[in-house]
Amino acid sequence: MRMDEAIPALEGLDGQAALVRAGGDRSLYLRLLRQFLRQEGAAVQITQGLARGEWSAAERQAHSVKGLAANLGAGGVQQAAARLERALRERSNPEGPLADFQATLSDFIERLRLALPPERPASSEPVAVRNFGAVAVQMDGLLGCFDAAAAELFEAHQELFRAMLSAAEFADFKELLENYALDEARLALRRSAAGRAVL
Amino acid sequence: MSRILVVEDQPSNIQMVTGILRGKDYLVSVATSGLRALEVLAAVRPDLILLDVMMPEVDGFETCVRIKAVPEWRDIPIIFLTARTEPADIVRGFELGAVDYVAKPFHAHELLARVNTHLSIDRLRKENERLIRAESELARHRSVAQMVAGVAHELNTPLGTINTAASLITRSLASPAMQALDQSPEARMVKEDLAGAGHLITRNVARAHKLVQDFKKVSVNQITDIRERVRLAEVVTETVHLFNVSERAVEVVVINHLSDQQREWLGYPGSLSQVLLNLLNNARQYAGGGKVELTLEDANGGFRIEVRDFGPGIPPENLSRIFEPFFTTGRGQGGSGLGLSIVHAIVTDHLKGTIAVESAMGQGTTFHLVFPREVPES
Repeated sequence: MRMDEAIPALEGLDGQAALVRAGGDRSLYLRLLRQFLRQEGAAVQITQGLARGEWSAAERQAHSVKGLAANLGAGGVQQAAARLERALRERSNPEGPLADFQATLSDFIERLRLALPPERPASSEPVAVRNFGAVAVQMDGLLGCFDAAAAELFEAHQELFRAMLSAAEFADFKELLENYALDEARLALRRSAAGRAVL
Repeated sequence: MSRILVVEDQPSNIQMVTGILRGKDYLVSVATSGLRALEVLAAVRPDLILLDVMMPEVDGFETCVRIKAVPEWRDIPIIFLTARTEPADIVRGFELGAVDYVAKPFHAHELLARVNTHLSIDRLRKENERLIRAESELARHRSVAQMVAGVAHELNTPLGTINTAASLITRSLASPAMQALDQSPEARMVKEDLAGAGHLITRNVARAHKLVQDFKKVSVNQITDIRERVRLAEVVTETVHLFNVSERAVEVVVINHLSDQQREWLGYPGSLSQVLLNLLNNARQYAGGGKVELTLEDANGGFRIEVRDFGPGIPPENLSRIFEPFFTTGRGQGGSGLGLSIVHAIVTDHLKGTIAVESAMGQGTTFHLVFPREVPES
């Protein structure tokens, strides 16, 4: 096991059970943990949603944080989210559960951020720019099949994409892939490629 | 390698599921909503669908309903991913046609085991369908052979009796008792006429016997099928005769509106007989026999044949499906559900025509066949 694949020891995180759930795939589990950091703003978003009267959307968001926390083995967050979801479903006063959820979530995320091993530094190998056409064609084909392997291909050639796309295009494309908006990712790739006569 | 469509709105969940599946080399397509799932299905054909229940707007149940409503997608096995494990939800999923569910948060090994199991079951199901199809082809050929045997049997017995009677006449004429008649020239002429008639009968019985044998061959030819120029009404009438040998309970009336100029058809009479026999058999089985009208007429230079029964009719919800392979309401009565799909295939692929059906509950069902006057060589 490499050092950068150590599962962080963290109160409120049953890493071993969750790792079993992920089929023992450490790098998958770590990717999921890292992605959970993005839930940082969930409590604020729910509060804002409620201010606009969007109870169902708020309930769904609580539900999804509950599910994510359960996948990761973050029991405390899972329970807090479950209590909040129930309160929102019953349309009862969510103040208490919401405050509890906010505190539990931000505490957990703060500690998780510190405990996660650093991300592997980007490869410093020179980028073979000539290959971009072939990679772009392959990417276009995968996106056309809504294939999840598009994310793997992107990861493998991230530096190539970074070199070939503008900073804004790169960030945009990366985000679309991360959100599995593969249709839009394909359109974005084609737009970028059109300017460079690649595809 | 099998392709799996993951329908799930949460990127982290997608990453978890695809991570697990990609680890086992499955191909994975992703849709982030129910509506997107329908778009993806239009572009790729997965072997299995993992469908999240709780999604905004169109939820998993509704998505399942929409997928199942499309005939080409109906057979793709669907496994629900659900955090809700109340029995009512689970039952609802099964009722909508899902094959299984996996409770969230799930274990990689459980997910993989279920995916694997259902892919295997689906492979077996397809293999089973192929076998049923092959078996039903055999059954079809057997039923033709049976009918031929029936005809041969029916004809051979009277032909044998006629033959015996004819030789009795011939022998009697040659007997000593009859020699006395030779004295009278008129009586002798009558005797000779009778002897000639006896030979005529014997010769023609032999010919009829030969025809029966040929007929056996023709029926076998039906399977090999030769393109030739024929009179359409004759093919239809012969087929009806053949049908009535084994199915006397059905009264088939042929109504021929074709003029002399319109009667010739260059096509595959064996295939047409096959189609008509199938439709007649269908009328016998599902319309409960009774009367069937077969109408022949011109249709803009081609031919139209209508096969109309006066049975209970086909319910509207079944009507659009009757040409699908394996669709049957007569499974218990030996129906494999292939008859009409075979009819459809023969008419469209081989006779280059069309077949349509209309039905009114309580009034009966009519099949409309339309095909060109000259069918191009297959």
